[in-house]
Amino acid sequence: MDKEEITHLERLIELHKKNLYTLEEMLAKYGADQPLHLINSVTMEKEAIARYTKQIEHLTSTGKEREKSVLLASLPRRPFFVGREQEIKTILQSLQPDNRTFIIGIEGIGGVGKSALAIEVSHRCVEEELFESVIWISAKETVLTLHGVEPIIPEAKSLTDILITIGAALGNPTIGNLSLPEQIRRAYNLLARRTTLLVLDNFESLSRKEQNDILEFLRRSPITLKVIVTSRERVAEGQIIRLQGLTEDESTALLKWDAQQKNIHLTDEQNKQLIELTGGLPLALLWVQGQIAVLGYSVTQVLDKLSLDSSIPILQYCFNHSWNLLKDGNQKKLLFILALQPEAVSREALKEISGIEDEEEFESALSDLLQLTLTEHEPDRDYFSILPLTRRFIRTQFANNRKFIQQAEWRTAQYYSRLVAQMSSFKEWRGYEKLLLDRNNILSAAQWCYKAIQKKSASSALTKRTRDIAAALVQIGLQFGSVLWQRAYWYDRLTLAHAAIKAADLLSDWKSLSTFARNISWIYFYQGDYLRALRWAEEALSATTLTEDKLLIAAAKRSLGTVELRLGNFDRSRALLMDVLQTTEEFPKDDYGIYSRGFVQYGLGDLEYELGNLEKAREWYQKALETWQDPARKDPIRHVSYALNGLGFVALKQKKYAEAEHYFREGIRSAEEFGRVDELARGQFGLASVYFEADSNLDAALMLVNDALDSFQRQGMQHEIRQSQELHEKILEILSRKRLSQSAHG
Amino acid sequence: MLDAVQIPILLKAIDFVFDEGRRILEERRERRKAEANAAQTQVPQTEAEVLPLPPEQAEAAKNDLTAAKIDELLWQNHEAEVRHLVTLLETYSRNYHLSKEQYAKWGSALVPPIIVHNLTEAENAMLNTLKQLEAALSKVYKKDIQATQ
Repeated sequence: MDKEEITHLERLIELHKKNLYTLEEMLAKYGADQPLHLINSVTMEKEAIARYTKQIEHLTSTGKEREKSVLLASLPRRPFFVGREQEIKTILQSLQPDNRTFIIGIEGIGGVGKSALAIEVSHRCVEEELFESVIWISAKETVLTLHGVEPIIPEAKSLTDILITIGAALGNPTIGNLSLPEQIRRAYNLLARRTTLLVLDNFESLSRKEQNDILEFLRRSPITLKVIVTSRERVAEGQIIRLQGLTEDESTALLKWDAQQKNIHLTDEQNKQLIELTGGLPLALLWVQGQIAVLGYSVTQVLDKLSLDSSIPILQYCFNHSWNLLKDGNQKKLLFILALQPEAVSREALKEISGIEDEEEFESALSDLLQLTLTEHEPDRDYFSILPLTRRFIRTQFANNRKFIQQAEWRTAQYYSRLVAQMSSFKEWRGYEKLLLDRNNILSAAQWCYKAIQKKSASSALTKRTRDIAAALVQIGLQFGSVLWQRAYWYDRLTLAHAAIKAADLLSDWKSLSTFARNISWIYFYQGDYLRALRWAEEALSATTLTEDKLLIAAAKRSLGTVELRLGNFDRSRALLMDVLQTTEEFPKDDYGIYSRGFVQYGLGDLEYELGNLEKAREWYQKALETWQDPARKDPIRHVSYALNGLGFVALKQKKYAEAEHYFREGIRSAEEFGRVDELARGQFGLASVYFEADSNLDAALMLVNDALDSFQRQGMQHEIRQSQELHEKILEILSRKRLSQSAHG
Repeated sequence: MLDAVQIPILLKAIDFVFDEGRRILEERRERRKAEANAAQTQVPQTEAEVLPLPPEQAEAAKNDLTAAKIDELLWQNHEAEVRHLVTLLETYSRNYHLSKEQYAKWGSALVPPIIVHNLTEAENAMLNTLKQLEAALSKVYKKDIQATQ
């Protein structure tokens, strides 16, 4: 078929050549006054010959190869490329001839790798022969070098430039001599003859008018054309591919490749630090390595520069363009708020903290930021965030907007203190996970409050603002502290309680102060630091006595009694706990009273268990279980796992394995349901002990004890870590012994 | 294989390249010199002056070509092109002579620009076609043929 076609084309060329010769000979006779119709005829004949010659080249494989190499030569150099496989797959699918997508917008902040992805896709299109022509047009105006941002002359600044490039690439280099409508007509004509991929790089560098003109031109283009547009702003048309920083693995691969090229060596730790600081922004990663390799900076110097120096070129290069496009204050306000928070912020928080009351104005500012790709949106939970490097850049702008920043910091504290008040109630525990999405933001707000009151002293007169800030911190400390406790974020709770104690002291709020001291004592207790726990329990008791609140005093005594138990002072422990039991019985209907009674019964169970009085221990644990299951309490699930695990350990000690297994399973279930991490681990440890002692399922025991040990280690529960390590070793020993005897028999 | 002397059109083409072309280049150089003297200033030249081969070298090259043998297939492939270029050169040559006569009638200093233009155009057309003919002959003889330095 091809051979026939080639013969036909050769015949056509021959005929056209004959015509051309005749016409040229006629034309020669006219000398300098050549008639226009003859000139046109000669041009047409030449075009026809060129066209058929090209077709022949296309039909022969060598022609194809040549064309491919010409296409590749017209593209920018293909850089080392890593990751983005999903994006490439999506784009290549959209570029298939049967797919109706015709404009693909690759968007993201400067340096995120938009152009690199477009280059990679273009090269793959050439390799896979997806298009007959691939045209690359860049409107890039600046380039980042190791010494700074330097201007370059863009290849295209207008629709005409693009039309001329299309003409030159598709065999009509003189298209620029025509009028604009004629250029457009000719370009459509050329594009209709070949399947073409047009890549418009750095589209945002063009003016709005030029962007509109180009999009208008593209909208009416023939179906043989597909377009990839890379832009720092959202492209109004077509499919959107939004790029974020590379993953840690991808960033590491890029850094390693680049380090090899530049003959430098960064440790894994330094690579990790670099990736964290840049948020996996490829350009930033390469730029920093360049600074080390070429300019001779030390690794620490560059990393310091990146974290402290606001004027480094990489920040200017990536963000200046988008920042300068921000029209009104609202957009900047939202960015400042996002930069103030360590993590993603909910839509509601953004609106409230920004103080933008008009819904439409708020939404429009948010949409502008998304269009400029300065923010990321997580649609599933409706949160907004910025990349670490964006945060760094926005923070450099704080100095010029000091007043708003101060307001925003205070509003942030107010907002999170209110949120915590709404969602931390013990009856709302099912919503704790949602609240914990804001954990770091809440802790950051608390940290700001602490800094604001840090240097004030209780003896001097406090301003209203200082009192308000201190009150907000106390509120966060009390209510969010409880959530952190129950979800085993003990380190966070410890820090928060230490900060909040200062606020409570400033306000002479003894109730809160004693609560925070007790909180600290409990954390030290669980972490096995009993002397510190004792000191803080005493502190809590002494602060509580000032309040004359019987239940609070009882809570402090219970804490002290439990620490004494672990220190081996059983008599004092018993006296304190019995005292607490008496007090709590005065409050049979009070929720906190019931809660405390349950815990003191549980504590007495622990005491009897330690003393080896197993039946007594069982009774106390059973009482605790019944107290917590009291119908007066609306929510029995919260603490029952403590009692169930206690009963389990008693049954285990009594070698009632089936009963122990039942209690531990129930304990695990209720701990899982409530999300109580420490009791879940204790239940797992108990169940592993049952399997081990009953010698029923050693593999499951090993798995359970591993999980428990992991969890205890994360929470720093020293006493439990020791116990589970011992069990772990015993299980391993028996398992290896069994395997040895099996192989001996085998 | 064919003897070049057996093909009259080929000989004509060789004559054009080595004689006619050479003559035109020399005449152009002379005319430019004369114009420059008349204007007492240096006439700006838009392109570098192309010099023909010295006569003895041109003669030797021409003799080589006429004595050589050529591939029949190659000749067949390029015969039409050579024929066409020679026809063009004949016409351009005629135009060139006419322009020169008109130029001569006005005398060097008073020649109207249109005639100078016509003459230059004819000259350029001839030189361009001669270049194409050199390329075509190079393909026929399978070696680089150039009549200029």
